[in-house]
Amino acid sequence: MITQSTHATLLKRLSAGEDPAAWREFCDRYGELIRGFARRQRLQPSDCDDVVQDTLLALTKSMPKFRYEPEKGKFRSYLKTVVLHVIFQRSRQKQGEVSLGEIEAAVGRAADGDFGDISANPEAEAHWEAEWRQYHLRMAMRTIEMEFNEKDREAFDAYAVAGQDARETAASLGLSVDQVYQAKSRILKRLEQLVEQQVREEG
Amino acid sequence: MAESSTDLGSGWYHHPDALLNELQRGGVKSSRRPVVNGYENLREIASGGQGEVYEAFHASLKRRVAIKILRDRILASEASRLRFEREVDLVAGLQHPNIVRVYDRGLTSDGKHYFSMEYIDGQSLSDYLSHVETSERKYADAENHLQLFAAICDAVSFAHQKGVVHRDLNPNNILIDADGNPHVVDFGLAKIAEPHATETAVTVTGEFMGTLAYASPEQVAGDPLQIDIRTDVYSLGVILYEMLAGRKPFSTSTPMADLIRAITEAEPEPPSRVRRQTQMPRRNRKTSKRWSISDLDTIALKALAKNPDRRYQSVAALREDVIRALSGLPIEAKRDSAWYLFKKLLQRRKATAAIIVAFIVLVIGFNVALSVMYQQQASKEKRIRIFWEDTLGSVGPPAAGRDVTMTEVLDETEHWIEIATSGEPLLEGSLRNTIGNSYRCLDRFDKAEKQLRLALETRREHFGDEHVEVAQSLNLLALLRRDQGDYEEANRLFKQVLSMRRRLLGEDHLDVAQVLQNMAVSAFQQNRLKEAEPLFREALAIRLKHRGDRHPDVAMCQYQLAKLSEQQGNHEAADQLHVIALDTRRAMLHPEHPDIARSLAALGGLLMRTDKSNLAEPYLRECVGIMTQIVSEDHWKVAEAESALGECMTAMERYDEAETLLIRSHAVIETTRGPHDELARQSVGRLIRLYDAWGKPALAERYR
Repeated sequence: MITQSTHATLLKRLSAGEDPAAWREFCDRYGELIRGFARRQRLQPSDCDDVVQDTLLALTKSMPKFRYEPEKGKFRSYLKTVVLHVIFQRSRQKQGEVSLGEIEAAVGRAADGDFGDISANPEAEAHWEAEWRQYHLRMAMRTIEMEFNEKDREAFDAYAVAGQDARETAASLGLSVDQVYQAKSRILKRLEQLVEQQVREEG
Repeated sequence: MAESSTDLGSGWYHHPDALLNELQRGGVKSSRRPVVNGYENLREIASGGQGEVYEAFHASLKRRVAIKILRDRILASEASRLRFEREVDLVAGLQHPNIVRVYDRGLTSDGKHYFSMEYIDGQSLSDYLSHVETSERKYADAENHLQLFAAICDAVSFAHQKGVVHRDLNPNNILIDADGNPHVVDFGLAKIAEPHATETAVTVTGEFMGTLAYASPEQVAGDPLQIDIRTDVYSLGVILYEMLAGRKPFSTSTPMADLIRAITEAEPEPPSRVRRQTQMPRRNRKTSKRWSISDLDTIALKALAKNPDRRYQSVAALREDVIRALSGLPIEAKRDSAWYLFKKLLQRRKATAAIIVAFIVLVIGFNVALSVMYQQQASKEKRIRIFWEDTLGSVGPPAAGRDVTMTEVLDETEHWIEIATSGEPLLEGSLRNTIGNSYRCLDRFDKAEKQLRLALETRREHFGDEHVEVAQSLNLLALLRRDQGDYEEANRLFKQVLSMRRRLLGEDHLDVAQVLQNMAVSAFQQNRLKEAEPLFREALAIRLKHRGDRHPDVAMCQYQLAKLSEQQGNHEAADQLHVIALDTRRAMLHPEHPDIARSLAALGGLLMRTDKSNLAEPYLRECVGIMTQIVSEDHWKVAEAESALGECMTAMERYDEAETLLIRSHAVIETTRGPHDELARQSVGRLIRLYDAWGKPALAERYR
């Protein structure tokens, strides 16, 4: 079973410095999010992986400076700024215009709450928000996976998500139609609670 | 899928529908990952109508693979399961660098069918193209796209030879790796699914409309017996069309019934016209030089023919024509037009043909030759003009050697033309026009007159009085009159051409712009500025509308307007227009194109006359550099440019440099043009001004 530390404790562990396990968990949580965002920013798949790497590297350097203060600035914006800078610098780096030092400097400023005008792009903003919603759903689904039985989850996937007919779903899974409806509403309700909780913790 | 436009805000998770929407978009699942025996680390990378694709690692073979796990309903029946197995086994035999290798097939732990294949680290062609669409350097990629397309054809053609038809070619099952090589996926898989099952599946995942756009008329008509390799030709035609036009041949944002009707009934617009309408940046110079846009249009439209019999009969033939078009060779698709006639003609009359060929190669150049043979391009005359300005116009009649050969060849061809083209009035008209226009450019007005008149007569006889070809002949005749100085007659003819073209082609056709420009130049030459200006402006407006703001023809109008503005004393407007025209010419033309030199000379001259000699210097220097590249160093055209630079040096009080330039250029001009030539008088004037400014009245006196 996966033990999930809360967002806040993970960030604290990261800020504390040397903690490989914390970084692995960070990768596990945010890797997909960063990769997905990079893809939406039209990067090549191989570059997307590099962006994840670069982001983590940049964070390793600046994270000890980042103080987790929910009232000051959201981690979500902070991470977005870091990733945007990494992507932006990466494209310039390919044209040989920028050094790694510049990336670190920009990330350092972001840690102080100075996100620069790079955050102002509405398209990137929309992409980031979309990926962030997906991230929350993935996280929540991990909990769902532990809390619900497989039949319910399959019923949910087929009927609620893939749009398959309720009766067909019931028949193929050996459930009653009512159980299929129940699975949908229970999992949806739980998803809502989970995401709400995650967002609250995120600050 | 489009991004949800509604702002979900911070509380989006409170809306069940929004939650579901998000789940559907991201393909987030609550069930566990599938288990496939022998493979590790399954990670979902794509989801489609037939099932999900995972990236995985084959534990014992130690290789990264992609695994496609089919949805249960895809193989609902025993028959479809057998078809699936047979098809996978068949495709597994296809070994081609641009076809994704299929390794094995089997059942997942929960009983779903899967097959594993080569893992390609890359993106789909649709992502690849949409990525390129947004980039600035798109047109630098145009040739790459066609090369890519040829490689895709190569793979499909290979499969056809092994008896495998793809049936579902679209940009989503063509992957482009990091090196830009294509890899075609899912060969034959469209065949395995029950027709209704496919439909349900793809409709559910919302991909159907997208895939439908690549389906051939015989596929949407639902007749599986009609499907053969020519179905793949059609789908490739859609892909080629999309590469050329930037959109699909038929809109997919319509009800499905409309799309199906369009696929079975509507004629797609030529891709190049679509490209123009969508205001895409213009093709770069390198590419437009070599391939003909109309050839590519023809190829795409032939691949998209409704009737399979009228398409390319194999993907190999389609590929061949794309390659030919890329290399500037005549394409097969046009075989049944004038080219075919001409080839037959060559076979019939071998002796005369040799001379025609010599004529074509030596005088006209390959591009123009093709246009003569095809009889189709409206821009024939323009191409000849460009050819002249490119190669011979800048040399000018007195240059030794070259034009002698020209005239000889022209005379020879003229002699044979009647015999060679008898019974082919279309060809005769075109050849006579070409020869006539060539004579005109060589100032052989009597010879030009004869050929142009004969061409006009032939065309009138064949087409009647009112026809675009007749208008073209009249236009050439008008240009001849203008060159002869008979402006009145030229004007009468131009007006005739103008009204005929307006009637036949409409008010804002490019050919109308062409004759307006001719009339404007004519008026300008007679110093009737008030008359010339509106003509230039109208020509410019039409060209801007059709060509966008970066086109050599547009630049030509702006250049002329700039000169006109200077004459009218409006220096600021002249300066602006010159800069715009120069910028466009630099972007669109060969760096040593004479038009760039003309722009440079004109702009430099304007700056000098408005007391900005320091700004003029770089332009004038560049002009000298270009002229030296185009003609030999001792040509008067180089001298003309050097003389202008010399005057600029005088104004900047760099007298030593000025003296060197002015003395050398004066010597060349006097020798080649004679001492009473306008240019010679101008260069003398410049020498006198130099010595006056330098304070050497004795030397100045020598030239007075």
